Amino acid sequence: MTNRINCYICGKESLTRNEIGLNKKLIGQNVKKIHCLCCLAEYLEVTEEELLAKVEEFKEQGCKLF
Amino acid sequence: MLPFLRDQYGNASSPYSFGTKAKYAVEHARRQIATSIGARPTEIIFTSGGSEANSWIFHGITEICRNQPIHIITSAIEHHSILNACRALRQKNVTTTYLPVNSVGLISIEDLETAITPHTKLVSIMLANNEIGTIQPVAEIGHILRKKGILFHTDAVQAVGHISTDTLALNVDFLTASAHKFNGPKGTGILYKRSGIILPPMIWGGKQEHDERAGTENVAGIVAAGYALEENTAKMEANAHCQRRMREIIIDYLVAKIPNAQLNGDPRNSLPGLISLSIPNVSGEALLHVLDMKGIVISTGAACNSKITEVSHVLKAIGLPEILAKGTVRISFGRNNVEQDSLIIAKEIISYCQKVNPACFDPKKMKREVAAHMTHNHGSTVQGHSSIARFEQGGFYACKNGDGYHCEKVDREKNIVSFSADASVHRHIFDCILRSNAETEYTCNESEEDLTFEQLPNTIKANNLF
Repeated sequence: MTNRINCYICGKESLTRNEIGLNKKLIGQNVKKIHCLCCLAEYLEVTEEELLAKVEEFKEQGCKLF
Repeated sequence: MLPFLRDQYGNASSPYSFGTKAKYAVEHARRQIATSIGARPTEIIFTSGGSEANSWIFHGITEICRNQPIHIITSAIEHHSILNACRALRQKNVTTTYLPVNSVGLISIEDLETAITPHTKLVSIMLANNEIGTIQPVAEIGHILRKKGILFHTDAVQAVGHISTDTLALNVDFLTASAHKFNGPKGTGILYKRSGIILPPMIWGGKQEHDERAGTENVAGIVAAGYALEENTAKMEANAHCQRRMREIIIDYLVAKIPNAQLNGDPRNSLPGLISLSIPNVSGEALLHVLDMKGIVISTGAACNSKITEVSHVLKAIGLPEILAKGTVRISFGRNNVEQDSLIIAKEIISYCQKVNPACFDPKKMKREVAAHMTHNHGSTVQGHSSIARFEQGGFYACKNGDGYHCEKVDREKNIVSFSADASVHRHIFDCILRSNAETEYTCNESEEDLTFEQLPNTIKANNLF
């Protein structure tokens, strides 16, 4: 499911539910500046693979953001 | 452990030599545990964990006293195995008093003595808290209860193997511990029960554990627990010294860089390797996950459950505002950590905070944000003024113009509360208190530096004011 939110850094359009969920889980529920997966990885100084692994982890835990 | 999982897998209760070897190993572990906590081997019973040991005590007391009114006293910051046991026992008409704690997590001896009734059968106070590290005055409590003839249990799960834990010195009748907390395996617990006390079994079956706790012994786990505690006890001072040093490094670094960060727990008497840190306007849970991706494992004081963030009962009990509770993380150092780890952790936390909330590095700006949040969430608003939640040293307090003032000193004997603001704002603060606590009357004596509140006699004490 996509959403009409663009990446605050690179402008990538229609970020995915998972991308938005990652921003909320890793920056805060009230995050205003949403990053795409690539920019979020750079922002947090982690890899995209690590972020994707976190998505799976959150899904396993039943998090409704994903 | 491995020999008892591979070759020496005999049943410790069996009469043949294959079993007696396992039996000797269990008894050796029992002696190791007993020596480490100043007990006799016959006073040590092995369980599946600390939770089972805790539950057994509450179950047992209820059975012993089942034809009498039963009252239990515990604290508001106990482990869930204690709190849930108390809740469950309501069905058996057991009443429980939950002693409040102050802002550093300490119970009041006066509160305890006031709570005792003729029907009090058991008091259960944890030796050291798992979230904030505060160490309770268990020996003093035990001394009082021994004189009154009330059974006393301490949940020492977090303490055994890390600080001195002598059952005789602590004046306890029961003590519970768990092996995985002192570098032993999961699934092995310890119940210390003072000689002469009879506790009905909670598990029926064979005659294991001197006919007190049925179930085939977890030989490998028990053996490992014995060696782990013996080793930790031998190196306790050295381990504690290293952990305190790591704690100091991380605190000095973080407090210097993040002035609005707050340390929780009793700074004078806490577990050596545990830090509970609150950073306003930072999600502790988010920080946990980001650090996890960098190979650093910490825990938080609040967890997201669907749309609700649940704040830990311990942080609520110490009166931590939600804005701080949500930004609380717990860092625990173990015997294998080194000083360099402290610096890495501190650096990563600061790096994260700089990205997501640069305001937490600006004391003035953060005071206003914290104050504004407290204005919104704490106490009642009367005539447009904000109430003040509690006077505790190091806290931030809201005033009517939205500014926050740092409470620097609280002297309860003299009823003096000092704020880091000049006298011109003291009247604001006084007005707020007066209005928000309409049933309480105070006189106010102002000087250039102090604002003194003297409660008039026969007035209702303000909730949490002092």
